[in-house]
Amino acid sequence: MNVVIIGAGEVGTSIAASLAAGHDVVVIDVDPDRTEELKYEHDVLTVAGDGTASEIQESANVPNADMVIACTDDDRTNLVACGTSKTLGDAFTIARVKNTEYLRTWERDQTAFGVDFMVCTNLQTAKNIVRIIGLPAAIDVDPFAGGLVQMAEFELPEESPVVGQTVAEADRFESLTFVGLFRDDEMIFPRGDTDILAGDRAVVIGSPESIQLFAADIAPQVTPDQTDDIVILGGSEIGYQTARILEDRELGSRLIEQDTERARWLAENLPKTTVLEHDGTDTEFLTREHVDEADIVIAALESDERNLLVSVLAKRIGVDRVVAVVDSPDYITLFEEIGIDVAINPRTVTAEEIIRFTYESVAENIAVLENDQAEVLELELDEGSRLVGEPIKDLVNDIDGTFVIGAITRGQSLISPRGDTVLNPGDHVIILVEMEFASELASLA
Amino acid sequence: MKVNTRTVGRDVGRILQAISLMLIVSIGVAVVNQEYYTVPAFGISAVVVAGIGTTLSRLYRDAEQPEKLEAMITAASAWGVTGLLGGLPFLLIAWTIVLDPFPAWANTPPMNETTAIFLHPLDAVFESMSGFTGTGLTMAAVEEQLPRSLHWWRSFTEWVGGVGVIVLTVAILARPGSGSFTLYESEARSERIHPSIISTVQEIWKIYFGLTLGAVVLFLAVGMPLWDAINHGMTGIATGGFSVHADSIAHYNSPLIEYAVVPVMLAGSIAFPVHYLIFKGELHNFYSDLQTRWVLIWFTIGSLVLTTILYGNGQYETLEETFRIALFQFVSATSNAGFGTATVGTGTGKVWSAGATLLLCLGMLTGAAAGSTVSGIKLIRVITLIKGTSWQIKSVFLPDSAVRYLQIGDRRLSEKQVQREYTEAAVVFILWLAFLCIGIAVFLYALPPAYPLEYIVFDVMSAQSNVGLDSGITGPEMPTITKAMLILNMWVGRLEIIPIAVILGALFSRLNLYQR
Repeated sequence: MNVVIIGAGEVGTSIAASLAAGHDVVVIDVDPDRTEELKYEHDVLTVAGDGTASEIQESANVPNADMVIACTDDDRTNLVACGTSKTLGDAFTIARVKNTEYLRTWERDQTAFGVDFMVCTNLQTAKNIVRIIGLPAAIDVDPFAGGLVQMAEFELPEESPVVGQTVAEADRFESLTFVGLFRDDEMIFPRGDTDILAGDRAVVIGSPESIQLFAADIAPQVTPDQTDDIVILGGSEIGYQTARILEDRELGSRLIEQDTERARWLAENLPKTTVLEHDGTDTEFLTREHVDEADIVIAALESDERNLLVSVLAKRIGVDRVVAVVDSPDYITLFEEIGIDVAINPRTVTAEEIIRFTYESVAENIAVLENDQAEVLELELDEGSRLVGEPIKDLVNDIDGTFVIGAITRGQSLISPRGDTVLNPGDHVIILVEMEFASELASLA
Repeated sequence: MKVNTRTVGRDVGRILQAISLMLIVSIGVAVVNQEYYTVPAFGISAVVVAGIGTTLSRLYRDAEQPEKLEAMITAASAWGVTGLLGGLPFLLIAWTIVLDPFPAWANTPPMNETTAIFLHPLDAVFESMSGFTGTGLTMAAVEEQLPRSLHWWRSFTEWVGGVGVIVLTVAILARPGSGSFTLYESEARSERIHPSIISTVQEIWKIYFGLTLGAVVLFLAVGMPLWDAINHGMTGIATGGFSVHADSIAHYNSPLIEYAVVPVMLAGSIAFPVHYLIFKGELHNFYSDLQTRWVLIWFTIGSLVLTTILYGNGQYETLEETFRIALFQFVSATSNAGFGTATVGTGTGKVWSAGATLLLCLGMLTGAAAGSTVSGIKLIRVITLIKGTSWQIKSVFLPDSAVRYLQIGDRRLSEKQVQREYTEAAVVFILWLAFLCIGIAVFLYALPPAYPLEYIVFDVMSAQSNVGLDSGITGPEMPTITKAMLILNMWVGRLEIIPIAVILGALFSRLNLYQR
């Protein structure tokens, strides 16, 4: 595959490093010294110049490229670069943006800006934070369909309330499908009357919110719920998005923001969140507000130094788990060494998301479960697909091989598969399938 | 300046591992030709080379990635070591024939004068270095007497050497990413066909293999025997010039074959990226690519001037013969192939005039396109030097504030870029002349005064530009010191000098020779 990467900062470089081994990669950056350096570091061709200019894109062979990844630090540069490349060829374009406004515009019309896939740094970071703090019981969590769907695997301990129930009893969330059970290294395709035993591992596919609720159901001790106290220090875009996603998962939080205007705006936009207007680094205030008794503290202030300071403070006054946003990747080990539980770097998160996406669009094999016994696939159905136009319950009978359809996305909406659901061309289906049957099933799409 | 010797050791080791594969392939060729007595020689050589290579690369497997300095030193030392170890088959086969330790079915032939030369290690190394650098100067007086396995080994070293041992290594032992470009660049290449070096290198080998096959088929079609066609096809496209006959291409005494060899040498003179585009059907690159255009222009002008000189001297009978010889010799010299159809000189006896000889020297000096299999200082540098010089002179007539650029091909260089590229070309040119002068001085010191100066210049130039034409001086009888000098010249010439200057600098600084 021919890939053109625009922007050779931390994100661009780490994407280039990961793709260079298997693809022909060209990297464009405005800084000639940087491109010169990169040429020797990785097996890529470099072009120095303005990545939004047609001339530069042509010399980087964008007209014949299969994929263009715009990941400079500047949102508008990335959007214009994608737009430019659409005038030159039909490469698949990926843009990195910080501002969620652009993402919202793009979600309304997915041809906007000439961007085919948009990764919003702030939103992605917030999602990662929530995934880490929200599902501590999960062994494995993988996002699908651009984050609309999640697959999660849980181990069920003796004391879990669902142990002893049947699958039909446990599976009572609207947008969640119970796709598989592993028992003593054996895979069981669950039916409604299958009993759940202690020590089983359950694989579920569904919306992130329903998975959160399911986690709270099966592992109430460790999964945060409404009674847990989550404090977000800093009403930055990441802080705001984190609070918003937590609200979606029915988890309230307290958000501390110093700026009056911003605090007011946050309060208006986050109805289930308590917004406090104060300096988050004031120890006395933190103790007064019982932040020391909080279960989780998320440091999402604007600068690494302030995040470091509040994280250390929070740890010292006795907070259980502290998650910090760290902008400079060099500081991550430093943060973790001084006892901060999780340090999240938005650039790394963005690079990982883009890399994951590039892999997906090449090979459809996404998540492999339990020593290669089963695979979770995301398939995009085309006109002639064997899976199109027939109710799922007939498909399961007609096709020789075991698979469970976990979720369907049509456009930007999630459809829960039921026996009488009929698949359309253009749908993305997320399917759990036996390993031996996986490639055959993929060929039916 | 601190050289990371671990990195150099590891990378040289990997290159030797690739070279050992060449020796293993050669065993197959020996068997096909039923020369079983040469199998142990190739086997032992392969074990030695692979042993050293594996030891080095294992020992230093966790070394860091090469920087420019390490890459240059790796290239210089890898070519040096390869030249040395590539002499093993010559040495071992010669000694096998003398000792004759195998039963009759091994087909050991009786000893002959030509093969006996390789009992001396220096001559074996000379032949190997001449092969790997794609030179074609030879210590074998009468090639017909050599075993076929040695024909093959000579041709094979030239064939691989034409593209380069590093390019071979990167293609075979492809490892993703870092360091590959640094190494690639240190072997006198910089253009890419694909964004990735590894796919570029693989593409180069595909093109090269295709061209070789084409050359072999062409030679068969014009009436060359199969074994000759294979060997000449390989050495022709590599612009190496080893032949299986003492009289080289003149052996066939066939104008048709002589004309057929010219396009093969021409193909070897055109850069691989241009071949790639031409294969893809973009034929306009023959004239739109600056270097390719100048290869064709320079070949034409040179051949015509040489024809005039030779015809004026009344050297050959007919105009057609004169033209054919001039065309062949000029293309052979300038493409740095070194096939011969005419005798330039017999050492002390004059055949060609000084003018004709020196015109060939000029061709050898310039070489053809960078990015092909030729050596010399490359046409692009000659163009940069000429255009750059006139640019410098014109700048005297312009005010300081004038904004200027220099157009070279389709590139427009700013003032700063001009200075950088002009300096680079000038440094290569000056060092080139310096090593040439050293070579000439050594020859003048070691040879009796009966040898004309232009012939000495011719032979040293021929070694340094990896051409392989000789004026009768180079041969088994020449003094030891001149053989060693030519080995050095060939090594220096193949790597475009700078890596050698760097390795010498590193050695001097390690030995503390820069005392002030």
